[in-house]
Amino acid sequence: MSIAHKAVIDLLAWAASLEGTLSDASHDFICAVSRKYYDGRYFPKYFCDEWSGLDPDSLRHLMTLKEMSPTRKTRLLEQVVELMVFDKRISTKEVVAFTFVVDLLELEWTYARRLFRNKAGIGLPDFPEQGSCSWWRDLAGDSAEMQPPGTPPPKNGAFRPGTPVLQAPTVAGALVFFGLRAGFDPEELHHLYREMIKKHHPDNFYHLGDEYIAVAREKMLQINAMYEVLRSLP
Amino acid sequence: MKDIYREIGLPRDADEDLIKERIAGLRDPELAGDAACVLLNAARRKVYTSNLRFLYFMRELRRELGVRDSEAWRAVVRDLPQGEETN
Repeated sequence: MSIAHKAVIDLLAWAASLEGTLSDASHDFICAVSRKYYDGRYFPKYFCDEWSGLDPDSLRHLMTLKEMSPTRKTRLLEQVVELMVFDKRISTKEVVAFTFVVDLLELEWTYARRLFRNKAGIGLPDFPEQGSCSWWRDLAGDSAEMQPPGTPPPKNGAFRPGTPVLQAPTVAGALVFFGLRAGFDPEELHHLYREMIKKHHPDNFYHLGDEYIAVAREKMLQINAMYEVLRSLP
Repeated sequence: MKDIYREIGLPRDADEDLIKERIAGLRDPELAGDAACVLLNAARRKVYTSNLRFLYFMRELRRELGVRDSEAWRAVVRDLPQGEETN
């Protein structure tokens, strides 16, 4: 994993950790980390209070991402999406951080949304070019019970803050997951399944540490669940 | 995303009585409804305030690093006031 790649992951992990319900201990910890790393040298003092959990080296390395080839950029974005999906729940802040990564890599939002739809089975917000954007309402709540009264239920598969990503797989979701269409050849399904298993097997991640192994195990569960849904079709 | 605090002229640490008083004096019913919905529920207010600060932070970070402003990002911060975070 490159340093720049790690920087993106740091950013997303950091965004994910910034909830509105930090305990006092967490708050104090983040303040202490900020003072230690930033000390006003890299960013305006504005960043140095409690919102600077980012490693300054990571931020510098983020800029090197711009120099990557288009192929590497798209691959990196795929990995970022996989990372977010593994986290099971996607917070609003992660999506905002994700738009940052998409813009940093200078990729198209429509591409990013499609990628997310294919990998996670959910849709990211559709930001309209004109007219009002109701996103601030979503930003006002990270969980269903915090939604304003009268908020309509989300459309099927639409993003809502805190949306659980790994839901019980549906046939449609499993088809998207494997990139198949109804009436697929069972041989093809089996081939794709084997390919995915090979790619995501936890043994491939031993050199990256326990966190990645855990993530790979979850991915394996997801692959198996999706496979079972399609395999059991009459 | 609107900065409701700034739109109704309140500090972020305003207490509930002050918020109610300010909302009662608002002429714009939509703004009053938004403010009441977000600020008069402690849990919702906490998350909203946290997300608001995060958005201001990301905007500054983007400026610092010279990251392009895509349509998606502009839509997210369309209603956010220009300039630095004041609270």
